[in-house]
Order: sequence, then structure tokens, then C-alpha cells
Amino acid sequence: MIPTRTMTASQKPTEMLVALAGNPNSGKTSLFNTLTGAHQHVGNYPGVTVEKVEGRVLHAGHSIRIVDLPGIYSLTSYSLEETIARTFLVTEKPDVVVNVVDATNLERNLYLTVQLLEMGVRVIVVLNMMDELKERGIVLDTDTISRRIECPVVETIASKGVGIDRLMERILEARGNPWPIPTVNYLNELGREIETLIPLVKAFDGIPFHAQFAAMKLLENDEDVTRLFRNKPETGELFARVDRSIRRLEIVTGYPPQVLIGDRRYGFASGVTREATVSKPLIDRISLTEKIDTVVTHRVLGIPFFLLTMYAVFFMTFNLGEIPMQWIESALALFSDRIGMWWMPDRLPLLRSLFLDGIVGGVGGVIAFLPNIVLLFIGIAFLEDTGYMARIAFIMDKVMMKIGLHGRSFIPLIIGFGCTVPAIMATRTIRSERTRLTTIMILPLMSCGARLTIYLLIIPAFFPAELRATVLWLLYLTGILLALLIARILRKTLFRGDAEPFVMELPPYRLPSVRSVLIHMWERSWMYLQKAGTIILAVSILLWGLLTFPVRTSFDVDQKIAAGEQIPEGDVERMRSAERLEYSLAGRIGMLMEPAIRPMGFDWRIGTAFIGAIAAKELFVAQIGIVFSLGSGIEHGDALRNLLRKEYAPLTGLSMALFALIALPCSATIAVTRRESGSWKWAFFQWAGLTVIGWIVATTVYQVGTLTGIMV
Amino acid sequence: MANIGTFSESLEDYLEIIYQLIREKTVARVKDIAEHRSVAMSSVVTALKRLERENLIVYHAREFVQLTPEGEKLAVRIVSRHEFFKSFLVSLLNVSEDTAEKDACSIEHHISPETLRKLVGFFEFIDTLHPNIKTGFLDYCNHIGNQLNDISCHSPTCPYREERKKQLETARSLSHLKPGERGHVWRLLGTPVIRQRLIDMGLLPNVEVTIERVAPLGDPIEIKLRGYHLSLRKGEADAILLQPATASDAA
Repeated sequence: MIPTRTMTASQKPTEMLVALAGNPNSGKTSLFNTLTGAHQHVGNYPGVTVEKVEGRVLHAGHSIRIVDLPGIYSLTSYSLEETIARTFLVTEKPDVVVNVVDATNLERNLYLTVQLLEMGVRVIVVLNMMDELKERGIVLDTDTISRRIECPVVETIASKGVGIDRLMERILEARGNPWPIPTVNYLNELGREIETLIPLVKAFDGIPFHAQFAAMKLLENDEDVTRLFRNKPETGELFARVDRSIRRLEIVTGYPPQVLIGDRRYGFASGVTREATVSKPLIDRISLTEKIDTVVTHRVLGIPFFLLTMYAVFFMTFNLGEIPMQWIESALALFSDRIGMWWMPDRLPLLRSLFLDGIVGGVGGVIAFLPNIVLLFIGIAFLEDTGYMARIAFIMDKVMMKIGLHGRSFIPLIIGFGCTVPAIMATRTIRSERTRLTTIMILPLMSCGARLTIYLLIIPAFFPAELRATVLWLLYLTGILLALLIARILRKTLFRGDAEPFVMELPPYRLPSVRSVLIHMWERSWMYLQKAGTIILAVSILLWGLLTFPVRTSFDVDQKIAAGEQIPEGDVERMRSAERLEYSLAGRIGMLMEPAIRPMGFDWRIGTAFIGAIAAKELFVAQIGIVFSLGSGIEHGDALRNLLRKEYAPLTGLSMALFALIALPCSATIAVTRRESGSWKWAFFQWAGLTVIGWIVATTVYQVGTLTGIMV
Repeated sequence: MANIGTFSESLEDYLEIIYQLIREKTVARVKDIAEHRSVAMSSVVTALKRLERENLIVYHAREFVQLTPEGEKLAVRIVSRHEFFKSFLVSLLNVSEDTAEKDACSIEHHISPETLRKLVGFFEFIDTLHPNIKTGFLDYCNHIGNQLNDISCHSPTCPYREERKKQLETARSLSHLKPGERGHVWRLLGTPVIRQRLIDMGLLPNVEVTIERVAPLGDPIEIKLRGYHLSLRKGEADAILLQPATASDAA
């Protein structure tokens, strides 16, 4: 059985397409980086590569396009990764598929190899991690493997670049060659049923799979392949035969075909492994991984160790990050001052304001978070690359399962207390789309650092010292409980579906290379700057416009002064900016909104301040200061608190804090949600959903409070 | 209305026994049922509770077991299905009484309603309309004697009853094993999605699995198989039935 392959006209003779396929943790991405030199994330956490990543390499005058497929264990249509990989192999028809195999776990890795071969693609097997194999004292005979699976086998140590040249040679040799399909012996009953289906399958045109592969997929009841045939005319007989075969196999053997096929494939893989194993230590040493795990996932010690690790990561992120953050902030302030001095207010004043207040202010705020984000990602990269992240999912899964989420959702939720943006990016390790979206949707409810600045303004303004800690604690708790509740509801309605099976490999611990951690960190930090940055720039400009236009040119203050009223020198400019704000679109929107925000106990001034919070939560503090003509609220905290206390009841304060917690996720959050969910729809849904919930909660609290007379 | 095949094969067997006991002795006692099935009284009680939940029997502790009208209807159908297979095997295929009894027991639980209907039709067709085919086949059997070929059976488990019964009794779900315990995979239950995932990770019949540990909060569990570590929730582990390793395996 030799698959025939026709070159399409678009494939130039010097352009080759090579796909990398393999199990998660087989070192596939590591090999990709070595081959292409690209900055692509390598992680020791199953399922890190979610997107398809490409690189190009020139070798001996040939241009080779290399695509890194997601890490997969099989070629079914049950998971997104497997569907992506299978579709790619079928539609793009790569010239060669490089199957990266973890030599230390040959049997399970070969299970995928068998399926790749059965699909009829040209496979070159890369036996990776030969160094680890040697350390374990195992010797494999590569020639035996090559002979048994009838395709070239190359030994490599991808992380050190060993064996790469040979691999490139093999790739160039392999192109255009006809490829044999090794026949796994599917034994009597199963083999017979497959044989009877093959001619029936062959009768259909336009099936992109090899006939035997398609027949087996039909027996396995594979959704996609079945649908492919169902869409064709006159499939009655085929499906009748398939059903009959399935029934017959179940009766004769007592197992469904799924099990029989898996059993034979694994049987073949384990046969090859046994034959190729020249020697191995008589007694398996208790591996280092097992020793570490007896402590790290211990029934009693596991959770304290986990909490300690999380604390270390947080300490690093927020305490250590504080120092460079201050550098950046003072550098930005200096920059802003210098520009401000050089660019006098009388020259192009609007453009100056746009640049200084809109762009430097808005984008600068994002850059100031960069040290936090870089450090956090170093921490996450380290946790992932060592393999500890999979253990965290293992330890925390029970809690997450209760609300319909996955163990892997836990880390993003924790990160969310720092900043929602990196937290949303950390959801990439969740494999199920529904679980991932649910996690993203609830993440803004984890009170982030910016919300803390709002709480720190409001709580001391309205609550006595002895109650402050409790109120703060209650706010955090409200966010968490609401998040759990919303997650449950979403998983039961919009993102309904069976819980993602938690069948997760716990990979061996590996010491990550500095290079890999740095690549990982750089990739994500750059993405943060680039993607979030561009959208934040746009939103900053938009908000600046709202806060600036229409420009007010004559001020009541000036008239009062002209009328002879005595106003302290320092207050004049502040009162002008308050008037400017009132006159601006934002101020007008605030007043227009008043009927809608009145039920929460807000007036137009609070509403206007919240418009600022759309860009970034901490801007609320600055804005409310301006509205009360005090200048930025950050520098005039106590004066502002006194004013707030005079103007509003504590109930309004609580309502404000709740609304700030729940509603109006910041523009960076929205930008990242858009990017990570792949559509504006979810970003909008998140924004609108949370804002509506925030309104309901704040209104309920305010109205109930008013009626019962508490805190009025 | 309860259909044949809705309940597990052992529950169907219990219903059948209860029906026969009532017919023979007018009452069915837990002790008699236990004797009949050669199992402990406690397992009988568990089964009876399930049957009662399904509204098929009425059962109070230390009293007789009675069939509800629903239960009796189902029992009659189960018994007559058994009788049908027996007579099909004996009178049509000329199988010996003992074998027919044994085979009827195993076939009756696995046949689909559709095939059953067709077989009944086929039996009537031969028995009433074409008795000459029946006699012709008997002649043919006598003629070639023992030369009828048998389909080879490569199944890891033999469908014979006794062995199955023993395996059913010793089988335990993976989620019930304690850390350090070992076993071999016997059956995979669960939805096709979960089953495929388990298969892809190498959880297949006769593969040795060791329970490594339980997560600090009691779920999920970590197992070792084929030289690597895997974690799965107890819910998924429930779908994996094991034959625990015996002392001789350990040696």
C-alpha cells in the first residue's frame, strides 16, 4: 500500500513544508527552537503550544517551512489540539512529518507514531532526550526501531542541538520518496472487519484519509470522519456494515472496537519497544521525580508547600517588582516633565495635552506594570518548565471541579489578585475552550492591585478604623464568591458541556534552561506590550478626547474673580479643570447617565470619575480628585476623603467600592480578553455582563441599605 | 415501562431467581436467593435495594420479597427470553441441553432487542413454515459430525459464565484502590469520549496500574502505568475496572 502524492502547482520545488508532531513534553518545541532559532515558548507542562507556530529555515539551498503542531497523544477528534493537528496534516499535506519522540517514554510516544504512519504521511522519527535515556542506563537499538516501523529514526538531544544536522539530511532525503505504511497486525476478528470495510470506504471519492485509517476511524465512531462520510450520498450500506462490524466485534471479543484498536496499536508500540531495548537496569531506580513528589504532593505537606511557592512567586512579582516599577514611574515623570518644560503650553496646546496626558499617561501606566509582569512570567515559566505547574493543577483540582472548572484554572485566579491582564494570559494552559472562556470571564472579579487603590481611598473615607480591615476583606470575599457563582452559572448555561476529563500526565521534573525561561518570559511580555499596548493606546486617546472636548474657554472662576470675589491663588487652576471636566463630553455623559446611576447612590461626579476608570481602574482615584477640583486624588488623599465624607453617606461609599470591584473591567483586560478569546464578542460580553452585574449588586446594596436605614 | 436490557445483567438474574422462587415455593426469601446465586446475603440485600428503587419489587428487611406488577411483567419477559434461546439452541441447532442452558444464560444478556425480534421471527419461520429445513440441517449435522469449525476466540476474557462471575466479583474500580495497591485493567466503562482519552493514555486491558497517591484534598488520584505518571479524577477512575494484583503476581 503506497500512498500516491501529487505535487500541487503552488509548491515550488525548493519550498518544503515540514510539520513537527509529538506528545506534550517530548521536546518538540525545543527542537523547533533549535531548528529555526525562533523565539517560541518551551514548557514542561502538557499542552503549552495551543496555537500553530511557524518558522523558516534555509538549509543547503532549500527553503524549509517548519510548523510546530500542538502536543498530542493521539489523532482523535475529541480534543482541540488533536483536531488542529489532524486537520493540518490532511489539508496542508506536509512533505515530511517529524515525529518527536521522548526516548525515555518510548512505548507511549510510539502509539502516536503508529497513528501518524497509518494516516499515510511521510514520517521521520526523532528519538529525543537521548541524554536522559543514557542517564537512566537504558540502551536502545535505533536500527531495530527503524526497521520495525519502516521509517528513518534520528537520535537527538534537542536542547543541546545534538543530531540536528543528521535530521536535516534525512528531511531532505525523504521528500518525494514513496512511503510504505507499516501494517500493524490487527489480528483475526478486528483485522477481518477492517478488511471488509476498506473496499467500501475506497468507493467514496474525496476522503482525505488513507482507506485503512478511515475504516478504523469509522469503527472507533470518530465524530469528524463519520460526519465526512455522512455528507456523501448513498452511505446507507457503508454505515450498516460499520454498525454490524462494531456489534459483531463487541459480541465476539467482549470489547468495543475503540479498545481493540487501541490495544493493538499499543501492542505494536510495546513490541517494538521491547525488541529495541538492548539493556536496561534490572531494578528501576526510584526516580528523582518520584522522590520529589512524595514531598511536593504529599497529603499533608503538599498544600503548605504549594502556598509557600505561591507566596514566593507573589513576593517576587509584587515586592521585588516594586523597585523597577518606581524607576519606570520616576523616569516617566521625568520624561513627562522635561517634555512639558520644553513644549510650552502655548504651542499647540491640544496636541501637547494629547501627548502628555493621553499617550504618556495612558501607555505609561501600562509600561509601569511591565516589571511585575516580567517577574510574574519568569515565575510562571519556571513553574511550568520544571513540571510543578502540573502538580498545582493536581493539588487544586478538587476545589476547581466543584465550580465546573479545571485544576489549571487555579493559577490564573491567583494571579488575578495581582493583575487581571497576565492572569488572562495564564489561562492558555487550560485546554478545554469552554473551561478557559469561563475562567477568563470571571477573572476580573479577583480584586487586582489597581482596585486596591480605589478601596484604599474609599474605605478610610467612610468607615471607622476598626471596621476597615473587615470591609476590605469583605470586598475581596464578595469578588471571590461572585466569581465562583458566575463560573457555576456559566458552566451550566452558556459554556455547558461535560466537564473536561482531567486525565493529565504528570511529567518528570526537569531543570529548565535559563534560555528557555527567558524565551518564554520574553515572548509573553512582548505580547503584553504589543497587543495590550496598541489597544490601550487607542483607548487612552479616545478617553482623552472624551475628557477634553469640547474645550471650555471661559470659566466661571474667572468671572467670579472679575466680579471681585476672593479666591486663593492655588485653587484657581484646579477649579478651572473641574469646570473643564464638567463641560467635556465625559462630564456631559456623566450627567446624562445620572438617572441610570442614581439607584446606586451615585451622582454625575462619581459617574464621570468612573468613565476614567474604563481605561484603568486606578484612574478613578485621579479622576474623582479632579471632579472635586482638588487636583489628582492621589496627591490629595486626605483632603479628598474629608470631602467625600461630607458629600456622601457610607452606603454610597460601599456601593462605589462594589461597583468598582465588579463593573467596568479595564481597557487592558478587554484588550487581552479579545486577544485570548479570539473575538470581540467575548470581550464585549465580559464588559457588559460584569457592568450589569455590578449595577445590580450596587443598586441592591444601596436600595436595601436606604430602606433599612443602615449606613445612611 | 421497564425494558429488557435497561438493567445490568446481575439485576436481571436476581429478578429471574425471585420469579422462579415465588413460582416454586410461593415466597422468595433473601436466604434462598443468596443460596441460589451462591453469594453473601449482604450482596443480595444491595441488589434488592436497587430493584426496589426501580420499583420492581417490594422488600422490607426480614420479610419476603414480592414482585410488583411491573417487576413481574419484566421477569416474565426475562424468563421467556431465556426459554426462547434454550429452545432455539436445542430444537433448531441441536445443541445439548446443558450447553444450551449455559449459552442461553450468556446470550440473553447481550442480545439487542432488534436481533432478538429477528431471531424469534426466524425461529417461527423455520419451525412452522419450513420444518423440512430444520430436519435437513439435523441430517447435515449428523452427516459431518464433529467437523463443524469453530470461530477462534482471541478475546482476553472468555464469555463463559463461571469465569465471568468470578471476575465480576473480584473486579474493583480504580477509584477504590488505596495508594500502593496494584491491579490490571479489566474493563473500561464511561462515555466514548472519556474512554477514548483513557485508551490514548494507554489504559487498556491487562495493563498494570499502580496507585501512587491521592491528592491532598482527596481527589484526583495519581497512578503509574507504562513507566509514566498520570493523574485523573475519581469520577474518571470509576470508569476503569481492575482485577487487583494477587499475591502470586507480586512474587
